[in-house]
Amino acid sequence: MGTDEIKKETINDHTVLINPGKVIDNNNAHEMIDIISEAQGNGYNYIILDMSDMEFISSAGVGSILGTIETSREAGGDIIICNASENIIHIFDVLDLTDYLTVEKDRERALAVCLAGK
Amino acid sequence: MQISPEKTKLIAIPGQLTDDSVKNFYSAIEDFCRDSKGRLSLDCSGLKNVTSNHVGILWQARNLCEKAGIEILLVEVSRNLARVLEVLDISDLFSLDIVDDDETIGEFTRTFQMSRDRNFEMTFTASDKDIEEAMDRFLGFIENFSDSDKYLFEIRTIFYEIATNIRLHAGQSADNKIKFMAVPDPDRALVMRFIDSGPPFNPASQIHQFNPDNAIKKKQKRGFGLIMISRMTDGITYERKNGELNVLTLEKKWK
Repeated sequence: MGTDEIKKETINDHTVLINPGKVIDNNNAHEMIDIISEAQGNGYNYIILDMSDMEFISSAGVGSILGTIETSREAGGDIIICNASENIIHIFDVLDLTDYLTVEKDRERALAVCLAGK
Repeated sequence: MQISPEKTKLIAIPGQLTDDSVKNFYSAIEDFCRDSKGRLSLDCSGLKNVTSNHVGILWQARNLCEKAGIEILLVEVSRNLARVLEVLDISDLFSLDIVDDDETIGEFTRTFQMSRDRNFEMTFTASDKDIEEAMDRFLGFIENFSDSDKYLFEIRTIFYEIATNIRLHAGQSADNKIKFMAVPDPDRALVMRFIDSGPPFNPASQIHQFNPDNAIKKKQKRGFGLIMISRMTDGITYERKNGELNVLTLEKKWK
């Protein structure tokens, strides 16, 4: 599946925003993990995943998020998902993940969560 | 949802003929003839070596269906089987979907066929490019039966997860072809079948209880695909056919 470049943007000293593009699948899930892990290693406790462009997420894509959330939480932060489409949210629903993930409607609300928890 | 008025069913012709397999085969046909009208698809993929006994049960199946006014479509027909039926001058009694098994399929030179009674078949390699192209073709077909965005998204997810799972367990090379067929039964469900020649692997046996909290705390990064598939489908069956083929059949009710 055609994957885009994963974009990363520093928001403040604690927060990084990542836009994974249209797809997270087997081809780029490892790259997602690397980018998130690097941000966590550099002291960014909050990571916002802006899924406004995302059309498809595979199980490997889900794994790239689930497998890295706890590291942020252990550091007092979180990974916050925003702008996810109904289909992407449905994948989280299928796995009963909605109670365990922080999902916000848009980027502003995601940022508000980061600022409140800083 | 646009639906076909005809009812379709897929029954596999047993490759190894035993008393039980033949009895079960006839029993399935008799059940279909008693309860249904429309067309019956007989899966011939198990007939690697065609014997006179195979031709005999095909003939008997044809007679049973003819009495019930049901047309038979033979799917996954090898060139060998087609030649046998021609030599016996009985090929005209059946509708045939012949698999071009002499052809080397590498760059998705696809054996893409939309058969006469709205079934769907194709063969593709497990490369990323071929999986994507196969998935798009199949979704284009399913759009004739469902206009639910969520249903189509789930089908895409199921197809992708199964195909990439086969690649994981069978390895990716030009020889690793995946045969895929789907039978949309408009009254009940979509039935999808993936056939590959990789090492034995039963995904249905690998589906375990899933605890999201534990997965997060353990930083689990893999192993979600089969859970997703099991929760998005209404039935999964696995069969190892003739000791050389993995046959995975999934059923998904219409939404």
